[in-house]
Amino acid sequence: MSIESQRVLITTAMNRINFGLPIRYANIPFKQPDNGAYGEFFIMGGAEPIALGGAGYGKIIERSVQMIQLTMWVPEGSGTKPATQGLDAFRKAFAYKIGRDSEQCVYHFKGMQELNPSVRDNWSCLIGRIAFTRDEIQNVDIAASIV
Amino acid sequence: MGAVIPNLDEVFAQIAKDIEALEARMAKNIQALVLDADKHLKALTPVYTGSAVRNYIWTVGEPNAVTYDAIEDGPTGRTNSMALGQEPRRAANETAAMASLLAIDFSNPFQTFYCTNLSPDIEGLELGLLPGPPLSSRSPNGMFGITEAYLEAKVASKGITS
Repeated sequence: MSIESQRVLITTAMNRINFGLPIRYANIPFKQPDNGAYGEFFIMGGAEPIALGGAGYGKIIERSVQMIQLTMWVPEGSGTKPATQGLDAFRKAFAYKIGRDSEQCVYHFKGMQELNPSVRDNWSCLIGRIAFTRDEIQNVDIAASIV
Repeated sequence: MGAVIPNLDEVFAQIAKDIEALEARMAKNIQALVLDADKHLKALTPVYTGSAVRNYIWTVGEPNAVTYDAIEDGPTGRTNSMALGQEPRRAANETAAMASLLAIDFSNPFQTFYCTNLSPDIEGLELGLLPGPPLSSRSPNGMFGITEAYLEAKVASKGITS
């Protein structure tokens, strides 16, 4: 498994999108606009992988479930157009897409869930979330399993 | 033209037995799914005061409408520098919340099982809205979103009657 190959696949797709506003990524320097719309991008994991079944002698297919999230912050009173346009672009890039990374893991992205939490401290917030699965063929140590 | 089934009573008795066995298996699988959901939700929830994990309440038939106070069994600790699972107030609050799960009767799988969380900060934790601009917001945790996607993937791959 390569978390790095997953990061490359997803951030490459993100970098192809023209959001028209700055996007914050994890651990990348970012200057938050004082009074302008911006986005935050997250990759979330944590669920246990699911063993789907055999993939030949000594191999199994393992499925892990994760999620990407784009949070758009817009100053209250300035409309929501930049945020909705950004979420549209995000959806077009990922929803219902299939991908394969450099480690030959296969990705299936689901539809985008839109969330509109309440306004906080004069900022309006729109969120798009897309769950995805990553299928990977793992080697199983047969001898160790029997012992 | 027709077919004659001998021992019709025996056939019906066997069908009834098979249905009963299938329901029992479904009940076991539904219980396993609920326990799996509970384990994932709590494991993915960060703990500070304990309120978020204390308020994972399981009910049958209708959702819980009561918010519970966190159990203050000591200092909160510097939880920002701790891994998930290490927080001092996690154990007491998780155990208290577990009582609602232990009270569930899974013998009838054809019921609606609810997990509610009415903690004031649960939305912020889930979506990463706290504290929000002009300060940097925290990473979302996606306890519910991830768990829902996980359960969906699991049911899709394994089914609930197998």
